[in-house]
Amino acid sequence: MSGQVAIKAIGTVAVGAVVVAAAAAVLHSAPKTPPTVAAQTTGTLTTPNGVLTAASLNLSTYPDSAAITWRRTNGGVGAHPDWVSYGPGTNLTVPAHAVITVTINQYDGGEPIPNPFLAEVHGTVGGVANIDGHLVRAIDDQHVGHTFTIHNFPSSDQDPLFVSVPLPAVAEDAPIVAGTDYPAPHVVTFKFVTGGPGTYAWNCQFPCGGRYADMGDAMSTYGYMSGTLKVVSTT
Amino acid sequence: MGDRLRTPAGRVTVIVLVLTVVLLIFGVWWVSVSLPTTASNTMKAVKDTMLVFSIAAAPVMALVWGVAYFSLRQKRHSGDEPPEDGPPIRGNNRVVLSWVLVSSLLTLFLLIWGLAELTATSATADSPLVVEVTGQQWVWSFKYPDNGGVSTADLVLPADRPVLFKVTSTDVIHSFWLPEMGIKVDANPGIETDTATTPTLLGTFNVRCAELCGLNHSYMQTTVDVVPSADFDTWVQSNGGTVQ
Amino acid sequence: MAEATLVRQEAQPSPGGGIMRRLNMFTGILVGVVLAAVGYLIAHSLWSGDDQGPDQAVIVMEVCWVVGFMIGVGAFAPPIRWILGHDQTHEDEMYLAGENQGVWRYFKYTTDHKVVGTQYLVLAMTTFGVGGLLAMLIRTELSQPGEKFFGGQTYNSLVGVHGIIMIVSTIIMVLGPWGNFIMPIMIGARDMAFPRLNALSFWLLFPAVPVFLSIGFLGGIPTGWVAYAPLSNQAPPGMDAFAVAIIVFVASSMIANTNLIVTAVTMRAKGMTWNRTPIFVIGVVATALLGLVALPCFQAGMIYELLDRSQAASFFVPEQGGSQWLYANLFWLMGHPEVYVILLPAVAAILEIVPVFSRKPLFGYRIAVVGIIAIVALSIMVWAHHMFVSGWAPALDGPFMLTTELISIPTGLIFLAIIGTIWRGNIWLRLPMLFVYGFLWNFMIGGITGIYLSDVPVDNELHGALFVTAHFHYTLLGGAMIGAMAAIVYWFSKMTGRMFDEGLGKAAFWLVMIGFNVTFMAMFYNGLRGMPRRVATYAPQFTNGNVVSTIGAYVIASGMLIFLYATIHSWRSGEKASANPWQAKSLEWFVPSPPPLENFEVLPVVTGDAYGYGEPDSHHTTLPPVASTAVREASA
Repeated sequence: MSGQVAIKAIGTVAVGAVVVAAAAAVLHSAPKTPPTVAAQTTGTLTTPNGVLTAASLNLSTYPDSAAITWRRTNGGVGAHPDWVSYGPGTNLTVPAHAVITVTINQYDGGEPIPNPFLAEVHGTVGGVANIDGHLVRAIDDQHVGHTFTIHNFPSSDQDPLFVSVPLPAVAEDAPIVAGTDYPAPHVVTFKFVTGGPGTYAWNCQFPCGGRYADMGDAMSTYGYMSGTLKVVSTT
Repeated sequence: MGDRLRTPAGRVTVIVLVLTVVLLIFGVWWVSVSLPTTASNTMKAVKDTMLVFSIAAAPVMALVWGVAYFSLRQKRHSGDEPPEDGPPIRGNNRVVLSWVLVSSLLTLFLLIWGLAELTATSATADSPLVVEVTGQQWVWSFKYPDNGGVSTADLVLPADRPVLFKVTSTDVIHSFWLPEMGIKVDANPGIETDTATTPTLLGTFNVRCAELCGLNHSYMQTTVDVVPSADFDTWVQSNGGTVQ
Repeated sequence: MAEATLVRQEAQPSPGGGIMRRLNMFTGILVGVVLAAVGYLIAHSLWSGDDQGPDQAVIVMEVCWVVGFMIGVGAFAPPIRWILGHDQTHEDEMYLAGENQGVWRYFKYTTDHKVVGTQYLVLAMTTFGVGGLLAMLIRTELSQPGEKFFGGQTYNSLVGVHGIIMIVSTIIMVLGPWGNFIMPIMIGARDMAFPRLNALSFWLLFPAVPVFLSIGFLGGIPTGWVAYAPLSNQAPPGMDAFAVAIIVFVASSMIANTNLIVTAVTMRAKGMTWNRTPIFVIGVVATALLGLVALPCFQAGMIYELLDRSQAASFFVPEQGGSQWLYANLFWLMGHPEVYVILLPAVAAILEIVPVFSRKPLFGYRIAVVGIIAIVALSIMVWAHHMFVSGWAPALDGPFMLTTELISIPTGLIFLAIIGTIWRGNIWLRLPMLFVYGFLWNFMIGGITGIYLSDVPVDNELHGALFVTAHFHYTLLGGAMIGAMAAIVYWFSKMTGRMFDEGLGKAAFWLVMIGFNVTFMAMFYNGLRGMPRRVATYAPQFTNGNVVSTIGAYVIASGMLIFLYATIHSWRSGEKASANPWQAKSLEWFVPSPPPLENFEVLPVVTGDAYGYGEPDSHHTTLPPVASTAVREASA
């Protein structure tokens, strides 16, 4: 085989590599997800397990994604203003070895949940959540709006972390608050403790999307009702 | 004997025998080192079967590869013109019949072994521990109906007690898989499917979803803790359940 | 009768053809795009308010694209002319056959089986390239734990589209190019039984490819290529594009398979009894028959799926009385035979190649035929081994285990035919024979690992994990694809008139073989250790195996790219080939390379089979060999 032919053969491989890299780059940046929401550090907490950072995270669940600023300005092809959505974003970062206080304003209605296990509170500090001022261990499984569920992804690289908190539904006949588009939300607050650094996935576990079993559309698209949770080291 | 070995048939037999030994060693080593820990009686049956099948496969692979390799070594030519023609052997009924006979016997053996094992592993035990498994996009939850309905996202099992899993799904098809215990059954919407095993090893093992179920299928995993019977009773009670 | 003059006059295309003179692939694309846009706009304005509106609009758009393309490429012109009373004249037929049209005939509705075969080869290699690109993206994501490059949503679509594109590509990979190009010449015919159907089968497949590629722009698919219900009901409109593409692809396949069967059964040359028919033809016919029986089940499943998604039917929705197991059964009734549709033509090509490069008759021709027929018959009786863990019919576990393990016997007969031919042969280690050896290595491993999976308790552990993925890649990529590459390098000179560059071919072969075994051995390991399949991220214990698999995959890609370059380079400037560079005995080697439009000056008479090596008195045909000085070029 002549040198020229060999060079052209290697050149073909190089062109192929460039095509793969280009395709990867396009696919990597194509999906549009809202910006990351980072937990705000509020200080430290002394617990029986040592001194932990304290941080807080504020989220909301809306009956449509028009409420989310990023969606309004970055819609474009594939935007679904009528889909339910978490806001202001779904990629969350929280510090490691910290007590995270999460407050979720739940504006959406709801229905019975098929799996009553998910109407219970799991994995939080004390096994309770504060809903509109009352500490509860579970909510009425006939009126669930959404849930906030972090998937436990056990591995030797990261600590277990399973948290599931149900968010009650707003009543069907609740009046719209003057000056806004939505009724008064249920305010759900809970705390959970993070271990070491790692990446987890979280999503709403209440079927609030579309199509079969109401788990398509918003439930199966990143940036609406599912996202990532990165636990990052603060040292 | 030396003359025999020097004929083509003799030499290829030696190659095939050597290759059989190599493949036997490789097959046995491979199965032992790759499969996860044996944590149940079902998994032991799986491992034994894979060992036996590897042993049965070794001579077959050795024969095909041995003949192919030997022929290449013996009579290899390259160049623009073909070598002269070989002997016009169109068939050999004895060879064909022996081949069919041996492969049928091997297949029969594999089948009998498989059926025996299938019967053994699907035998239902009396009074197993019942666990209702619900797969849902994208989380597993477990309920112990005979223990007062304790429901949890962590699977805990007592060692050495048969357990019967009743598996279903609330949405799409999932698959409930315990890799270290060698059991798997699909979770179907609207239908209950069963699988059973007896955990034999204490420790923490994996529960994975083995059927692509959408966006977060990769995250549909959790752990199963196999603990001594007494610890299991304590755990049940601490979750508000009743010990049988 | 053409003349072998040294000074050739520039021949003109025949004056016939009518409107076909103006129609080609580009007019097809134009009309297809316009009709698709119109269809989408109408559907969208009619139905955008409905729940199923987006699905209905996508279905209408994709169907309009296919129909528009067929109109624009001229598929409807011949039937319409016939209805209007303008029968085809001889000039029309010569025009349609592409006489004297040069390269342009590859872009038109050309009926010459050699043109269709070449078109299929280019399409098969292109779709394989796209599938390979997707595989590189998948392996890149899997090189590290965590969803680093693409999220789970994109990844699931990559996996699903990779799967279906590869399935389509490998189904057509040998039957398309060589069933069309070589088989008619091999039986001594001038063309296939239905030349216009031949063009139709190719041009019906062509628009299905962009429909597959549009899946990514329509939301992708969250299922794998198996498209299990009810997850498929939950999917975004990409699923509708998937279903439409399958429906069109199966229609194209059924037309092609019918053509192949009728051609082989009715158009064999005088004297070519079934006993004297080359094994490649037997393999092609058996495969075509199997495909004809099995593929429509998939098409039916996709039609019901479209009804479920767009008309709120409930074929596969359990809560409304349907059954997801209905889908699974329909799918696997196709799915298992389909892997043999992929495998058997490659095996038939290998069986055709081995005698030539061992200079010995095919060992056990009748045994090979029995093996092929038994595989075809058994393959429609094993489908539920894909459903052992589904819980559908535990009582049938035993019977399906039996039929699945029985398939190993005829497969063994095929191996016997191959090594029986090699044994005591004078092995001529040219490029095609190298691929034969590669096949022997890979397919043996693939076949044995299938036996593990046929045992129900072992399948309970290994199903849905990477062991299965490695098994079918060993049989389909390592077995069937290597066989397809053997066919390409073997018949390349007949198709193009030039020899396939051996140096480049060898480099490609070794890169692909080594890369392939590294990739999928590591995958067997990870599968055994418990890594599920179709996952975008995994526990850290699987990292090493995945890194090794990814490196192997990049090596495969380099090998395949070199093979691509070798194909292009050899086609353009390879060494000119004589009519019979391999000194083989079947009929295609008795015509020039490439063959003239009508293949034979005088139709051959067959007097023996094509495997008479070492038998000086046995002749396949009374045709003289092509004189080496009169190397002709194809018409234009």
